[in-house]
Amino acid sequence: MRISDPSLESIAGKVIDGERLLASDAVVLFQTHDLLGLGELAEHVNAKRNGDRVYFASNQHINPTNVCILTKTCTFCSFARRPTEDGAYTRTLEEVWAEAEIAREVPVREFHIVGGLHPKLKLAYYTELIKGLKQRHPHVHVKALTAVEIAHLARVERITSVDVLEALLEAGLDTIPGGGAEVFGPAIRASIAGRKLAADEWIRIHREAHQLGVRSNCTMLYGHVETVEDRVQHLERLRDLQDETGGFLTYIPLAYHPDHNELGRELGREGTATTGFDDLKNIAVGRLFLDNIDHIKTHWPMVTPLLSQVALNFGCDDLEGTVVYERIYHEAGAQTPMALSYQEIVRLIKGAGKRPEERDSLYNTVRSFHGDEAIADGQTPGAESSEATAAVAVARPKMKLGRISYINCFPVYGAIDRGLVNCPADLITGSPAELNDLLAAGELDVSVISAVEYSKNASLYHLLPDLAISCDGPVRSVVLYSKTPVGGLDDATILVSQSSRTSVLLLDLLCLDVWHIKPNLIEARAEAADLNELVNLPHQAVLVIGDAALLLADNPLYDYRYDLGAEWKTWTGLPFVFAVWAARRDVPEAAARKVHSALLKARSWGLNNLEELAASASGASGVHVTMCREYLSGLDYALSYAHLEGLTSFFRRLAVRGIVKDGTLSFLTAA
Amino acid sequence: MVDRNSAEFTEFLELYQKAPLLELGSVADQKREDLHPEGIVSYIVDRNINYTNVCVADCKFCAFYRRPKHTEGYVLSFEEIGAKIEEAKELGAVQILIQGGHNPYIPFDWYLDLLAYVKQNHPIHIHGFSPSEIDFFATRFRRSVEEIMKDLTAAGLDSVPGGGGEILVQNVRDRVSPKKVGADRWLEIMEIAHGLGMKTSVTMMYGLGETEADRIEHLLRVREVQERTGGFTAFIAWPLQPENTEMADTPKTDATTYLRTVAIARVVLDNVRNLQASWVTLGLKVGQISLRFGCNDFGSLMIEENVVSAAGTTHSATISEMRRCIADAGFKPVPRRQDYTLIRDEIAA
Repeated sequence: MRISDPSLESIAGKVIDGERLLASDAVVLFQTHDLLGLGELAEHVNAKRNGDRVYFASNQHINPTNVCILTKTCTFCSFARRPTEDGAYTRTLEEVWAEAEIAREVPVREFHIVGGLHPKLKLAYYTELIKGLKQRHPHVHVKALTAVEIAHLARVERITSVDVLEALLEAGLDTIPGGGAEVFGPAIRASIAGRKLAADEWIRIHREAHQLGVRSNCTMLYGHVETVEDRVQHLERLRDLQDETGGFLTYIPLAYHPDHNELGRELGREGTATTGFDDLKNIAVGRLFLDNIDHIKTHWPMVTPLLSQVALNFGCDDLEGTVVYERIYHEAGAQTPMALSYQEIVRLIKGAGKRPEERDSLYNTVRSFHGDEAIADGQTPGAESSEATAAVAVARPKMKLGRISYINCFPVYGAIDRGLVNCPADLITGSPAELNDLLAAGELDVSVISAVEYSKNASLYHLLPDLAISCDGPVRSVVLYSKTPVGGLDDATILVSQSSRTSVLLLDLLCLDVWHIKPNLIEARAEAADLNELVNLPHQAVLVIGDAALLLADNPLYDYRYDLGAEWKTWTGLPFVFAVWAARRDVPEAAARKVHSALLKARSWGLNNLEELAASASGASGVHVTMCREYLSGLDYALSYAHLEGLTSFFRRLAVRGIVKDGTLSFLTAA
Repeated sequence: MVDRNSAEFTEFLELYQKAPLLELGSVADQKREDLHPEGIVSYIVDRNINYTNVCVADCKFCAFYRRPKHTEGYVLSFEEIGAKIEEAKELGAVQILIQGGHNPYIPFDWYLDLLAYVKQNHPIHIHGFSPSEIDFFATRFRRSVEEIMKDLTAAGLDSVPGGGGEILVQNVRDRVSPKKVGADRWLEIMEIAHGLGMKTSVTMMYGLGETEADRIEHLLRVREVQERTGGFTAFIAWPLQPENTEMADTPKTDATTYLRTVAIARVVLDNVRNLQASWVTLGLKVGQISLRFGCNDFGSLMIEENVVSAAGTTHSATISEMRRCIADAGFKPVPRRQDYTLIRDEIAA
């Protein structure tokens, strides 16, 4: 740990000893320019608490109304409108429920519901809204209404805030969000939110919620007119309440956006967002000072996904979820995308060197991205984990099964496509390389993947027994087309398809060990649609796979044709396995077995109906039907002893060359 | 040439791939501190003028170019260029950066006339024509690089930008820009420019599907030339902006990769004095953070940047925003000239 600012040294000592920081320490932390030293300290604390996990959740923001009685006095807000102003809206219950229907298509686990203080909407509107959502989406968590809105409803109904909370709770409320805290200091509040709920009231309502067993989040809006001392006093109040109740789940520092609001104009700050340093400091100081709150979240819609990713190395363990719709900050000029895909979030977290864990609203892991480690971390396979699995099954009603679009998959998927075999999964089509990535990212549960991909990520997957795409001799669809005999390709350029890593590595082995040449392999797009462009690139030979390989057979440019399946057979005497089916280890085995069983049924139909499949393959690819028939009958789809010998022989040769790690095969229990 | 099996190469690669982000940052920060102990972060006010977008290089990563005869192709007139320079001067610009496509319809005299026209009518420092353009001129006009450079210099060219560096590893270039100047040739042209007494910058555009080892090789090749010539003033790295290009499917690299990349560059390039933050592509927030990951310069107030903004990056900032970011990071913002000398009278301000 390198601390370059001497004023941080005594604080570093306390952090390492696990001692509580004083308010004066937090002031020093906010003022330092030693960003990396501050980050190191925050990471030290975060690592002890959360390891290298970074949580994320799929949630949907719902803002039922932007009409707000505080329009004139909350000067930092760009969202609120007066009832008759242009752009003012209030959704009917039906509209809100319709908007929430998207939760059926994307795996939303939480509705995050906040809005303006509408002068006329009654408590019943909100309880009905929540009840309706719970009825339609019983497994989606409802996080609704800030303390400010709860206090407003109490005033409208002339009841206590506890009464409001109890009514919401009965309707189905699960937790409450942390908004409306802004900055607690009375002077700041008077200047930016003069008529908003006072700090004491905000704290009181969260205390009441915690006492009713409702967990909540807490926030601070920074980057406007507050001083460092104001920030620290604010954090102290949060820490005090947490000492008392333990009800806060997460602290979220919120960056002020100065566009399209009165405060931004008044300060002459339009077009100037908070700085990256300030964003990271607010994360890091939050992590260090709030020693009794488990999680610190970065809210990427406000600070940009780029900055949020950096924050993951400055003490932050939660990346806001895939926000389906975000209005409040975008009205204030946030130029961030409105939603990040599941896959993008996983990629951002992995890119930061951290381990993504999809969580539910209460920080139970629902999907971990390294199956093995999730169990090692104490999730014993018992009641708890089957509960977690159930949650997955509910939110993701169907398994996601990958399929290659090439005609070589027709014999396995044909019966499913025709509705003859019922497969309990949604089919996602892609090139082999795409499917490899999707399965690795957890976007698919079961997929056909290239043999090499399995060997690279064997610890993530179980193989599906007795199912593969292989050949014993010529394969026809993995071909090196060359302008010269293969011996003349030393130092020559060979374009290789980006679509199959296995075929490229097989070519690599053949060049080195059989042909004894060292060509330059250059990746190119070589799908059927790319062939016209491809032949115009400078090259001596080209490795194409799938339908493209069948199509190129007639091209007069190439006098020499090397079928890699045949070359392998001549070399080793063994069949070659190009692709296997694998299930992720974190997918419930029973569900994977059902998919496996459907695939086997579909395959036996396929092998008995090759004529019909060849006809549809010809229609789909433009390759002559005779050739399709020949091609399909030359492939086989079993994974017998001989195939396994071919597969392990290939892996062994790659392992000798250091291309893949040595390992073993692991199978799903047979269906 | 670069030996990928050397102990040094392996060490750099491991540091780049495996060191925790903050640890790598603090090594780079220390190197920056050693080279620039005065606590200043410089920036330049300049204008990027793209005189033509017509280009025959067909680079897969470029969203700016149009093939000849395309209806959206343009060549700016001298008067338009002059007007842009005057606008820039009003905003305090001390330089123009003039670059364009490989346009086969422009004769060599046009470039010489342009330089003379600018020097006569709108005098300003002209930073122009990257090695890929110079290579294109040499091939197209059948002249040696030396002759081209001498003529351009005589007509008014002051310094050469480091554009078109991309990744200086040939097999990467073969894949993404097979028609553009090769890696060896790019460096050779820079070396010739340095030999003629000219200073240049050097760049790296990463995220083209190259490996991390390719990036290290790029840095080491730059270091090797710099060892001989000392002609590179600054190194600038930025990620591919794949939107609207043929490489739109390439996954965008992220902020962590950017910070790691500038940090390793600061460590490897111990003989290149300045490292520029590329906030135009990464945004001001990450640009500012890179000041703790090895960067000591905040680049330029890009009054116009057609090439980057055509690819969807629309960050905009004013001088005061840049100065605010620099000061907020704990440094003193000082404007500079192209050769990195500071414009001192502003230091007091």
